[in-house]
Amino acid sequence: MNIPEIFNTKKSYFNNIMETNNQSQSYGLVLKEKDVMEILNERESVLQDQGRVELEIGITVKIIEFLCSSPYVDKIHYTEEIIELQEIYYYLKTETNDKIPDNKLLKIIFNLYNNPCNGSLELLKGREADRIINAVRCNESLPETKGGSNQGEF
Amino acid sequence: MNSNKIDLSSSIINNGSKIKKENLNKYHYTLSLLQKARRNNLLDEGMIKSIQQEIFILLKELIQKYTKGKSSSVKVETAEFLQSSILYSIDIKLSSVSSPEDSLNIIQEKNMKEIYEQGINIVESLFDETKKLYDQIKENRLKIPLEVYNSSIDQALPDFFSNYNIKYNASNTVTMIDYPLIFDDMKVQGVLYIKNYLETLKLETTFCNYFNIKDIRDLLKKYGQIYKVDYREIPINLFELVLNNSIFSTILDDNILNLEISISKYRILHDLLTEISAEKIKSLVNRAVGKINKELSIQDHKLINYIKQYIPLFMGRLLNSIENDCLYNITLTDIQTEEKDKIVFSSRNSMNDNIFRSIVEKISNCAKTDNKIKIINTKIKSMDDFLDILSADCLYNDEFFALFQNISDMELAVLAKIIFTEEIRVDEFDLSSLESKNIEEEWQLYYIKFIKKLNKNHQKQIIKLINKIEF
Repeated sequence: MNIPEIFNTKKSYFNNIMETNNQSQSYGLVLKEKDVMEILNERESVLQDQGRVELEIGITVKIIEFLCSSPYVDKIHYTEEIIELQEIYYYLKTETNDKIPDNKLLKIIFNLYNNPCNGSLELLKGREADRIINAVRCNESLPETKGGSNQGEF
Repeated sequence: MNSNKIDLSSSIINNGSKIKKENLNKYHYTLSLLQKARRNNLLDEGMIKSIQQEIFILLKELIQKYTKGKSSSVKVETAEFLQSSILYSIDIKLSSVSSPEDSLNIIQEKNMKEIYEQGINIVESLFDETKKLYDQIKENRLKIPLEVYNSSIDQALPDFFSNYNIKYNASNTVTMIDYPLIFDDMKVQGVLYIKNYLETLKLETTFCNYFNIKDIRDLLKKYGQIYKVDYREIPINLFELVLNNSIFSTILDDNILNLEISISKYRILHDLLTEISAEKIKSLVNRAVGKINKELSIQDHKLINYIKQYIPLFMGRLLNSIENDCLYNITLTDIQTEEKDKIVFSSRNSMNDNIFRSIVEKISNCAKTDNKIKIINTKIKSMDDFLDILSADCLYNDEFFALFQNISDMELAVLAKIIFTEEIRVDEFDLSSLESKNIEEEWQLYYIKFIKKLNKNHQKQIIKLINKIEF
């Protein structure tokens, strides 16, 4: 049995992603079918690149729910930013050797995205990602997880 | 009963001979059983998928438990060992019954979760049983100063009992045992491997315990003297040493408990074995083994079979040592120092560093291979200098071949002795099957290629010289 193939299948997750439109449309953001397929394809590919398998689609859904209410995202870059945040998340999960639980890692990423990165994914995946990785490797405290908003609180 | 599965009982009974246990992969019992059952139409595609789905659900649950629900994703290797752990317990349950048909009946009657849980219970019982076996072995251990033997009992095995994880990593043996057994199936994993190892170690120890421990110690020391190694540090099997010499003593009509083969006895043995056919040697060995079993009153059939299983291995080594004129290697007689036509190489007469450097420079500056070889022939007088030249980056590719062609068989033998020190200790050392793994230097790779191209007779000639060389 090929484990990544069994777990990381995109077939069953299509509807879960489409359902996030119920929440995001109030912010004027809607994912089309081709966007959803692109997000799922990229998820599969990043999981493969990071050598991971995932039991469910929860992380991607949480990323979408966070991002759709962010003041830093617009219609044009919505799908692209979801894909990039997904990529950053799995990269950090692997590079920190699974030491940070899902919810805590999401919370750190969301808070850093808002402040100090002000929506800049370049800053998030560069300077801030390095800080997180170094903090875990050196057993130091992680970047502040208290955010100004309730977004990302799980 | 699993609702997704049809009633198999009649078809299994009618097709009882379709799947034979010996045709299944014992290391991956469940997967090979499912494959064979599918091929023989005992399970249809839907049922196979349903079983896979059940295993997938088990894996999902185990991943959740493993991450304590804190991570929805894991590394592929984590998922793989968790899956192996599940299949390990399922394998143990399904192979615990006498036939593949019975295994398929279990699959029919129970779902994979039940089979898995029952498998875990069996693994737990095996673990307890194996721990008891270990305690017995520890108590009856041989009092022998052999590091690999002692560290296996005192460190490696306790490590297993402390670190083995039945729930999450049952297929991982989690320890490395250095003491070698004669027969050791290393493809078996987890607690089953340790159980097999301990059962075999118990048989070997029981046999060794028939002999005086001081004689075993002396034999081990003799091994160290002959091979010029610290006997306490060699990874050697004691059962083999003891049984070999007991067989030789028995052939010599000596006391079977006598493990020492003196030089005079060695000569008798040598004359006897070199004058008769392989068939007759085999018959002598079999008779000797029968006598050993009888005189030691060995009743344990497992031990009797174990010794029987060893004989073909022993015969191969014995015939090889006779053919290569190095019977003393297998009898552990220090004939080498007494009467072997030995050739000793010393490290004297090496040139000083400045002269050596200037020669290397001259060789490097030569454009023609013939000239390089000429310099080596005229200037290099000691084996140490010759070895340094080989490693001095002044010869390339085919130049090594040309050099090896130009040196004598004795020099080729010395090079083999340097590269294959460990392998030469084994009696079956064969130049035609040399492998280039673990080779450190370029010249050694070319040496192997060169030697493999020589004809069999030439290789035999070199082997004979190798056996005569001492450093």
